[in-house]
Amino acid sequence: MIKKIIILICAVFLFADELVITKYFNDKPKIEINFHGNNQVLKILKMDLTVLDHFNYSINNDGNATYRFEFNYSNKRLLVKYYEKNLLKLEKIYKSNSYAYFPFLVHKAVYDINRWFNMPDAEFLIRKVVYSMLVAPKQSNIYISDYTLSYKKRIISGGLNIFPKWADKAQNIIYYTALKRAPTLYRLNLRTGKKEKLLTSQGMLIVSDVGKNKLLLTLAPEGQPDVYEYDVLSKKLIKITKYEGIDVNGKFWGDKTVFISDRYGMPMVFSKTFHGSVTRVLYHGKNQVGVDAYKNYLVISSRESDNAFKANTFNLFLVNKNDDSLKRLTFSGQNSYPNFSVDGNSIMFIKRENFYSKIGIIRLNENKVFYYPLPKILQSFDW
Amino acid sequence: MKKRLLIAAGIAALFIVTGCSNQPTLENAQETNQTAAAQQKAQPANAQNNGETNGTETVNTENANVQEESITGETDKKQQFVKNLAEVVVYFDFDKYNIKSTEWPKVEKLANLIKDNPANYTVRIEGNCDEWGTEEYNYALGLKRAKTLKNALVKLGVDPKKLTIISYGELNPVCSEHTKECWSKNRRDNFTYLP
Repeated sequence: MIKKIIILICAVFLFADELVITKYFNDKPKIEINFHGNNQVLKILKMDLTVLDHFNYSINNDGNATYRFEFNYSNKRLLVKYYEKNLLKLEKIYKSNSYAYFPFLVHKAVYDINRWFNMPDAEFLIRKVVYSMLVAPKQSNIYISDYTLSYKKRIISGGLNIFPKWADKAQNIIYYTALKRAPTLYRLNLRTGKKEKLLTSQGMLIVSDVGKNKLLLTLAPEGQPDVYEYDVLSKKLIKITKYEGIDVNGKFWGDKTVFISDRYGMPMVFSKTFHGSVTRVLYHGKNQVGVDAYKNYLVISSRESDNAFKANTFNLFLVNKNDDSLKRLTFSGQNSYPNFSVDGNSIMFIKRENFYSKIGIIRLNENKVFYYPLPKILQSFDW
Repeated sequence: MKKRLLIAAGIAALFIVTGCSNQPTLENAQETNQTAAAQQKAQPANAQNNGETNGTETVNTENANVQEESITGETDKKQQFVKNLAEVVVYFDFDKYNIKSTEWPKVEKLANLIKDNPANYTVRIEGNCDEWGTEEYNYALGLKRAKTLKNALVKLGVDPKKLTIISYGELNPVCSEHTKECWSKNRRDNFTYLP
């Protein structure tokens, strides 16, 4: 009991004011890592194991742990050996054609170890993040990175290139908007370099969500922002919302579409079935400006303070449609742009606090949140 | 001249080709027999700069000089109009897209400015926001600010065909300090001449 309390206090201190630490803490498998390689690679390895939070790990402690892993990194090659009770069980080699890609080698190795133990899925480790970053007024580039933003590759530059979204599960294709004379939506294959122009619209044109052969767009052909559904195969465009104010940020949510609308005088999250009426989703907070959906869950960014510029401005809430529960995920700062991982186990978001931006990753099952600092303003991202 | 253009185009093309670096790839245990070269062969044209920064647009200024004398008067008038247009900035309150009463004189001045220039052109109304708020909503807010201005100008007699609108969200700040004064400067509509 004493041990439990000490662990709990330490955890609350480390992640103060964020989340309540609950299960998993005492049940994690104990693993030992023997690492040989440079410090940058080691840093990524530690980050992975810390953020994953599925193991009680130690590195280079020479202990006699039941599960031991040897990591050898040199010359763009990572060799990982799995030992159980000092018996070699498995050997894996990860290689890349560029040194800069080493974070992905480590992520994949840790991802494989996680699978070896049949732990909950952690696909965020190996997914790429595509993001747009403002580099100067009217200049935003699109980059590809790993989830720690350590690896970075610029893929589009020149003018305003915004709202990139992954178009396929394999992460070979993206959608993005180029703000030229009029906003134009492109589909770019990163492997072949093939770029297709899909739509052009006056005012604004954003891919808000990607479904199976369908996109939810925010379009304003007459200068009026509304949510539209776009069929990728038939190229047919259907208007989902019809309101004279602002309707944006559409997300597929089962048989419904959720979106943000100012139809009550301030931005709030609403849902709508294809032919049905519009229903308000969350009666909490004064201003709900961001939403993402995964299965029966919604994550919503909501302002609770009356003062528009107070420190405690926007917080994230998790809504479960099945049991009507509401769970607070953050407690301070301005937390916006929440984005579920593909497996729904994590949420990435942007936090602004004391005039600094950072990326936050909430591990839902582990009840933890981790941050990385951001050098510039992140316009939007998808992972 | 043609030769120069060809050389310039050749250099630009070279920049584009060399700029298209290969996307690094990851091979796992099952793929260790593949060499990096083989991978590159499998992915001939990977993620790349779309060339917009290295665009091959060129300007031939030889003929422009010939016309310069005959259109000087028109050019001066147009330049003055472009300058006057750029000087008009309409500001908005936090999270609002209605025109404040204090900004109305600017809108009326703008309407007269456009009506007094009947030539063939378009004015782009650019809605902008401060850094607060989630991006999509911010874009819509910027757009509504631009649309409100368009509606007001049309009511004041401006031909709607002369007006187009766009939202830059928070991506075109004129002030980057984190102060209330700075944020209020970014909640604005700008007006740009499009030939």
